[in-house]
Amino acid sequence: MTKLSSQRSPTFLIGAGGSGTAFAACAALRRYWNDRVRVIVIDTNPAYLVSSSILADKFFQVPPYAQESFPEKLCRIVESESISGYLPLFPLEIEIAASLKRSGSLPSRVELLAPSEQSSLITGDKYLTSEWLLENGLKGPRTCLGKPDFDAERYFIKPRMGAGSKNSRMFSRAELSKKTEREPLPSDRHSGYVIQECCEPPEVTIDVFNSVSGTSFRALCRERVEIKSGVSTKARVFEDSQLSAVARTLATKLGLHGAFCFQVMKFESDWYVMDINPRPGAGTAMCNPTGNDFFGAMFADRLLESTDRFFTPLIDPCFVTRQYSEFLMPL
Amino acid sequence: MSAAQIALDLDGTLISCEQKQISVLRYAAAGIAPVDLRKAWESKRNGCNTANALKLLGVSEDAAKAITTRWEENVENPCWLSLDTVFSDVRDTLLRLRHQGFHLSLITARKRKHWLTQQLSWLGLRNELTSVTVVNPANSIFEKSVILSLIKPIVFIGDTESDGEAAKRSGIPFHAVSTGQRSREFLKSRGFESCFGSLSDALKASLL
Repeated sequence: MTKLSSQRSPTFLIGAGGSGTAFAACAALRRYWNDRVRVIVIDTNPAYLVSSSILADKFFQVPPYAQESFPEKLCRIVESESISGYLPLFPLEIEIAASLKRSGSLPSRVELLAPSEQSSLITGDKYLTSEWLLENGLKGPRTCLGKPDFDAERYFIKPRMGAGSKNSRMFSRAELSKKTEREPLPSDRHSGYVIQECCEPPEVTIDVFNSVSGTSFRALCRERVEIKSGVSTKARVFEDSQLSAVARTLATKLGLHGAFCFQVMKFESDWYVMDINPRPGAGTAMCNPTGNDFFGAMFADRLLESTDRFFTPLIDPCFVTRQYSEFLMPL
Repeated sequence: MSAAQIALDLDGTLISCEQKQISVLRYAAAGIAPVDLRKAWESKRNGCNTANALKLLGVSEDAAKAITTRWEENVENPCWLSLDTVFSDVRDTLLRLRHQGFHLSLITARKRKHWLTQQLSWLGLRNELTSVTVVNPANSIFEKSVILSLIKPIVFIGDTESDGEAAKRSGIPFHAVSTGQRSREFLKSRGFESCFGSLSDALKASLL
């Protein structure tokens, strides 16, 4: 019996409340457990700018994750609200949560829906991710720091610890050479960049569920047909056994349980792993209309409920589109 | 010989409505008045509409009106519709009935019928239904009774007293389910003795 499943009214803390992922997580909790669970949402913005606050029992505005005061504030909320399960979603938040858990700063009753501290570090840092892929015989783009140490026509520059393709762009060989002529690109973990070889479309996200016991597994592919602000708005959803096998390898070797996702692109004829997110994505909810609810399965697994009802085989590929919903926020 | 028809309501009969209604009420009441969501829902299950359920909880007339208006504006938006789930016995039951050769006619009261098709696809129900008819919620008893009189199903299954009234006016047998808007106690107090805890139980009672 997990700590969560033994409680009459478990309380879930959902981080990065302003994200689409947080909204989808809160919606899943309400959809399947209604008011039998308590939902607490945190975000660095005030409640009136955080849509998921309308699904929550309580909302707390917290300091930016990089600030020293964030862990202390987090621990106070965990204590005051008797949090039993915590889903951190922002990369740095995941890392901090994993570290607090390891150090015992988060009470033992709190089930952390996040990987180990080591896996959080690897998946949160694109340079460490590339090294890990290489060490584990998985294919990924060549990656370096500072200046290119391999020759290519084009390079893709992105933050080492970024999300949602923010501050990322392509450079030609000449452009990058000019940019790094005087000094290399910053390469420190939190504000530096990685230089990667460019891969080709399609860009596919694979949504994965791996139960804590490892006995239940599901992987579904979403080809990004259109993206807005780094989030998929049009997707082709399909099954693929090769990518499902990669998903299983990542889940096993990184100890990723619950729901997570990773991105692949093509390099020549191979799928290259571009990014690993130890949590579901903002686009993961696009699988819902196909009868595959990764968020629901993630929470059900922790509550020791069967996850069968959350998945449906996909016979043929299908297209899913999404539009925004508008909410008048209470002040 | 044309196939026998079974008429079915949607919200509260084939799919849930509780978690959506409670979530929308949470949103609608935020910033207007504190509301005990569980008690409000129980009042609705015992026969109240949204406004009266709020007033019973001590919410002022003006606040109840404001909350109800916002509730009604939102409850059929796709974002909130996505909180509905199919009851656990429904898919197998509908499949079984179709294999037995029954026509399954959905009759539902919705203001925004354009979102209904999407929701039925999302929930994987569209292909299980032979026909889908949407009536105006403001006139649901009359309009449902007209449809029922036309299609003459062998039974109509629904979760409210208005479903029952519609069946009565059209002379069609009615079985109530307590899985939705109204409690078993309320439905029985309104004379609907034939009240069941699930769709499959309601159909068994009709020897289906």
